[in-house]
Amino acid sequence: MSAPVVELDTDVAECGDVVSGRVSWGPVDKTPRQVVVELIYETSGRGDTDSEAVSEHVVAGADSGETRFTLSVPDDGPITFDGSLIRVAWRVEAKLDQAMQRDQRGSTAVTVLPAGGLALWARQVAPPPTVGPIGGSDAVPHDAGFEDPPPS
Amino acid sequence: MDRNEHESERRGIPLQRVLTDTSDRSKAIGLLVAVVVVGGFALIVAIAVGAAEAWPVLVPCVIALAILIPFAMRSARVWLGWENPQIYLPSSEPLHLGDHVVVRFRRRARGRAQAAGSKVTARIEVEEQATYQQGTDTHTAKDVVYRADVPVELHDVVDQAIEVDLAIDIPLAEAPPSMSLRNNDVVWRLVVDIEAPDAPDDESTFPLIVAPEIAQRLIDGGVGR
Repeated sequence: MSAPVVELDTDVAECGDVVSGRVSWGPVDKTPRQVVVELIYETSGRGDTDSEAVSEHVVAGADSGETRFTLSVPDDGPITFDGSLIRVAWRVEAKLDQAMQRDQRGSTAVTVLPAGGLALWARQVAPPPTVGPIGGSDAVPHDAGFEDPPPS
Repeated sequence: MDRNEHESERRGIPLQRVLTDTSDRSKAIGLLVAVVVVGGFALIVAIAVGAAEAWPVLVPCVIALAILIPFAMRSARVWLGWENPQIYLPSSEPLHLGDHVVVRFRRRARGRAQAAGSKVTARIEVEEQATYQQGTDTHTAKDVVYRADVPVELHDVVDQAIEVDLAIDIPLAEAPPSMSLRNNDVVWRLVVDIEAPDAPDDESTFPLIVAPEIAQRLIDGGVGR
């Protein structure tokens, strides 16, 4: 069994914008009823977790396949940030909805900036602030700051 | 529109949105009610049972009153000395990251108190609030993650009212925008302190909404962080 693989056109988006990419999966031992791709935010830190799937893309299941998706980022965020008590992280998660067995899932992190953030940070020729993966260790520095851009 | 807002319109203040801090009245009323309840309870017990035999109840009541009464008196002095403070925002829209906005703070003294000679200071604060369950108890951890003084410029002192202009700079990246989830919140507020020569000192707090959006002037002008 292979978990679905999520690939994003770009791993940075802004509020009011969209996240697009493609999901590929297969082969699986049981044909999923459907393939669901969701844009999810999740908080971590001192407070109880808040998590919500804000948009989704659903396609009919197949033993293997690939689909493109476009998911909307809400205007009112929240944005990705790593604060003192609260951390907010976003991910695109694909799920193979399989009957009578645990769903196969795959996900990729995405950074959500304030509206207008892409243009501003692009002009500064620097990547936007990032946070570690959901459930990452507390060794991730509180102030993640800027990282070197990935090689193109 | 109340009397204060009519006066402000006449003076050309771009009144778009008014925020009023009514916490002084709420606090004063709450404390006075607490004093009356505790004192009344102690009195009833003393009359019903007798002071000598009711001391296990009276002693805690007296201690509580000794703590409550000074706070209640101070809150009452503030409430009686000042009308509710207000700030006037130039727009009804939420603020944006990187915004520069001038708001007007206004407060009128009551009775014979004078606002002339008052000193006003202000700051903006950003606080993270994280709520969690521990067994059956609910706790909220809070941390002020950003604080900055706001420049204050006197605009007018007339008819026992003082008006000052507050030049607020919303930081671009030093603090996250406002956020309100079920268990996690990011709260922005404007805190204004006033010290008057013949009226009690007081602190007013006004909630600010900062949207997850960069101010257009920064996007157009390409100003850095």
